[in-house]
Amino acid sequence: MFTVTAAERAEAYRLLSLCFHPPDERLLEALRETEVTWLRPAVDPVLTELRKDFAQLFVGPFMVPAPPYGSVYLESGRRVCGDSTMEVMAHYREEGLDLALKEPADHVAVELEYMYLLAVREMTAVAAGDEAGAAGYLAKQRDFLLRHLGAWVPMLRDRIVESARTGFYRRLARNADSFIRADLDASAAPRPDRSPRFA
Amino acid sequence: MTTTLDRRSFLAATASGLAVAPALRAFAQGGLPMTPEPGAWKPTTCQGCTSWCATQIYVENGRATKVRGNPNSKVNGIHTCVRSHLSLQQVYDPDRIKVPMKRTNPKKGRGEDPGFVPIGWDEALDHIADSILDLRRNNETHKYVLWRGRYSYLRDIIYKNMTQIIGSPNGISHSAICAEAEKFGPFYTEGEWTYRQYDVANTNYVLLWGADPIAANRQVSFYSSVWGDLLDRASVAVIDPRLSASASKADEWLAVKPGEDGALAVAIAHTILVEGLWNREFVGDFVDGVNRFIPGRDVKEEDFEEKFTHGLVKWWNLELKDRTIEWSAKITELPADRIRSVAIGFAKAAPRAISWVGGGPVMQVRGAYNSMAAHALNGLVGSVDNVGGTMKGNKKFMDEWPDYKPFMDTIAEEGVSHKKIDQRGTKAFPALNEGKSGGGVVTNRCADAILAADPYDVKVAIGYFNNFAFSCPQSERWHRALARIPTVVHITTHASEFTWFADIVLPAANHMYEKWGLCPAMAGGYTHITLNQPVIEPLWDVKIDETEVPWLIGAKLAEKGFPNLLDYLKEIKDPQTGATPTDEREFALYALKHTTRVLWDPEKHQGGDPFEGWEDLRSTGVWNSDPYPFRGRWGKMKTKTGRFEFYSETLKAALVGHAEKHETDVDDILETAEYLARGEQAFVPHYEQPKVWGSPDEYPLLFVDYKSRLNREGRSANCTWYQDFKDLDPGDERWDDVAKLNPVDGEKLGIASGDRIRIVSPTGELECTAKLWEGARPGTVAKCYGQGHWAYGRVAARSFGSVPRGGNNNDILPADYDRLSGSSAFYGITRVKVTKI
Repeated sequence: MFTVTAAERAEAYRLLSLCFHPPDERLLEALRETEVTWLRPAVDPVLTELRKDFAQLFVGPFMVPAPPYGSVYLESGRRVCGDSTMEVMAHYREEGLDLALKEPADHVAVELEYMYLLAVREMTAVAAGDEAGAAGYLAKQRDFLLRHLGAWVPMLRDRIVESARTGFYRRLARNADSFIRADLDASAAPRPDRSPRFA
Repeated sequence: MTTTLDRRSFLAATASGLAVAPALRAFAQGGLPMTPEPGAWKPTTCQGCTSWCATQIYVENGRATKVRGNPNSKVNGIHTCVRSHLSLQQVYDPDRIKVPMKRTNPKKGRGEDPGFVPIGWDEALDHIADSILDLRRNNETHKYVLWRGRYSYLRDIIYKNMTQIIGSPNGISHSAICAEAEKFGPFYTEGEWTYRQYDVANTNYVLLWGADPIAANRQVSFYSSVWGDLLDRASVAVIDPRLSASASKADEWLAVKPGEDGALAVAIAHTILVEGLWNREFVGDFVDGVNRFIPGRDVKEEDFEEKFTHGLVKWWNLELKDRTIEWSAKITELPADRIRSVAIGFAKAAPRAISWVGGGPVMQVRGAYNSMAAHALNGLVGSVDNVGGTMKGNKKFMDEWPDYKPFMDTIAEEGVSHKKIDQRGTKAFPALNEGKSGGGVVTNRCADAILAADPYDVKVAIGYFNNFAFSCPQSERWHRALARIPTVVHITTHASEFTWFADIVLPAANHMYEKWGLCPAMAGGYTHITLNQPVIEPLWDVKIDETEVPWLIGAKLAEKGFPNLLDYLKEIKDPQTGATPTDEREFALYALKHTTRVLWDPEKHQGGDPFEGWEDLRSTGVWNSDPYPFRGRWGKMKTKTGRFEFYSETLKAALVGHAEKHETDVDDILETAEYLARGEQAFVPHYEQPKVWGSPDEYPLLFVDYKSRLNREGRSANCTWYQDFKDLDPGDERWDDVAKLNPVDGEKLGIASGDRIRIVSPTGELECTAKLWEGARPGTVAKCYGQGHWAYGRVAARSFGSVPRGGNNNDILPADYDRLSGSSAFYGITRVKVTKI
């Protein structure tokens, strides 16, 4: 058990998001250098292996054992772009954000980056002495974790752990889930309800 | 890891510089925020079967949520069939191909995981362009093949024009695994190589030959919407060895012995003549008005005066005179009184009587003659081109593409002079599409041709919107053939069994939601041309198969020093502004505007719905033809005689032409192509004993294949709704693949519903679940095609790569052909044995 600082918390969301993009040299370098030590890989991963594992877990082509999309877990019918995805889009709209990634809005990398952005905005508000603004961003993070990211990442973790061929992604899945759970606990929030609610 | 996050320490650190400029990757830096968009119905086209219904999609905030028919269409109107809704799960399937991928495992085989990894479009195109340029360097561009599965009418850009400019004759379509034999009968009787539409609003009798219009092809939305009224007014008889959806609602179900449809058709013709029930207005009469069609007796030709037909008496003398109901009953194993009541009922409704020929009786070895025999009944009752009868398509209009020939260099010209890879037009494969030897395709023969390198080997192949490694009979041959080709490219929305053998996989836009295209379709007296339109922004990095991909390949070839393809594509300009396309997106749109200009430009208008301009057509979504001109072709048919030919001079000319090409006679051709007729009989519709694989001793049951009403041409098995509603196919079970046996046979074999069984044919086997069901004719096993994928996604396969969900019928169907039409045989082709596992 250890304590992370605020900067580390935002940085953790940012780096976790990066880890769910297609792996490249930049990612490995970022992970080697990060001060969020628990994100550093236990052993230096082989990029070609990571690429293959990333593809078979999240991209395909024949089937995607660990779809990185919230709606697949939160809704019936196993599809992307569901009602829950629309709700996520509404969150982004509220923050004046536009997607740059050619993926559905509830891709895990997008949701993690959204958490990073909210964390940054909360910090910025605090730095500017805007206590009310900061409280608002805190509430937004808690709501988003409860209703979206935090509600389905445990299921994503299980799928990854079951199908990953590299230790890197198994560890990433476990770390992401533990971190988000701890983040929810820290915000003294109730546990997320994991039953489908957009069916 | 256990982490405790301390929010107080977090707040204490907020002065950190980290907060100033967030590093973004998933979100745009300073991008414009998305704005909410109110919902609207947007027009497009459903190609979940060849009905090609004009549809509308409800799109809200960029997301498609609902499907309905496009009320602007005079073909299907607001109606849309059950399977159209599955498209929502197809476009939003998490298993879709999202980015270009390349193979990392050089070994190819059923047991070899290809190890695909994502690459960019640039790398993928590099690979494709280099492979094509290698062929050009070695003067072997004919070793390039483009396989086309489903398509829109923008097809020629990739299928023909690009292929020819590269220098290959090998644009190879899927048509011969579709229903080419269905077109054979109409062409060699009334001169139209086409499917038909039927005037169901005015008919009094419908005789369905293996067709299931409220469940499967064609115009299911339209026919479903009028079928209730039809049943109120008219009689419907269904000839099918299994209880189809249409049979379950029909007045008569004739469970014919599989493969013996021809024996029923000629007996109905015999009865119509003997009973004097032919249509005098169309066919004519005996000079003295006395019926001389007496069983077993020849008739003198000069005694009968024909009006709009040709060769009735020859047909009688050569074939029909002995084809009595009693003879037919023995062969078809149908009760004689039922045959008689259907024959008389059908003929008495003349000319408002339809003999509706589906794939079942004709996509058989020797099926060409069944196609002629069943369609010729329409000639006898005068329903051809008549009110309450059968129609061809209405006149429709499309603009031609610019001529590609000036863009072919000497390498290309030499390349296209080679024979096509599918062995069409060889002595054993006449494929007499539109009267020409080798005029049609023999799709499934490609696998054997490649394996035998006859006429040559293939080095580069691109397939789009297809899955021949699953959809062709004896598909295992395709696995071996594809493994032999050094560069296989697959343009597809989903990774299928064909993709398994690919080197490069390109993510295709979904035809109904993300693509520009156009599709003509006909029903109820109208033809429409409906546009495929991108009604949503694609979720992933997909491109349009027929337009954007050729542009990108052209641009890459130009970059590497071969500009001909790109130069040609630049000839297709925006008809409104004259602008030359500058990228693939512009090209796709301009191509569609170009070919539809004759529909939307008031100055070019030639008929049908008028439009004020491109935007008017685009927002309406569909053009409708003028109404059907009944009887316009009586006496002016495109046959050798201009008449409806019961004795086909047109077929005679085609067969003689093919025989002369191979320096032999027609009888030798018939023998080589495995037909039984000899002499003059070859030119009239006649009964041929079906060629069925397997001996009755070893394989006691006849196999009956048919298509699921939810299939979307075999592309929907990964939809959970497909599995949830699989019991919409009569006799089927949800989330399972069942083979149906009559309870009588079940008892004999000791098989009960729910047993796991193995079905073995002379060429293969599959495993599935047994179901005892009265809808299967005794002595048969009826099984729906659609399940049995070992690829195609997490839902489609029970265990990906290894255990399919059920079995693929094509694993037990032998690769055999109706060689006159080039068609693959799917029906009445094989016997099987069934054992409990």
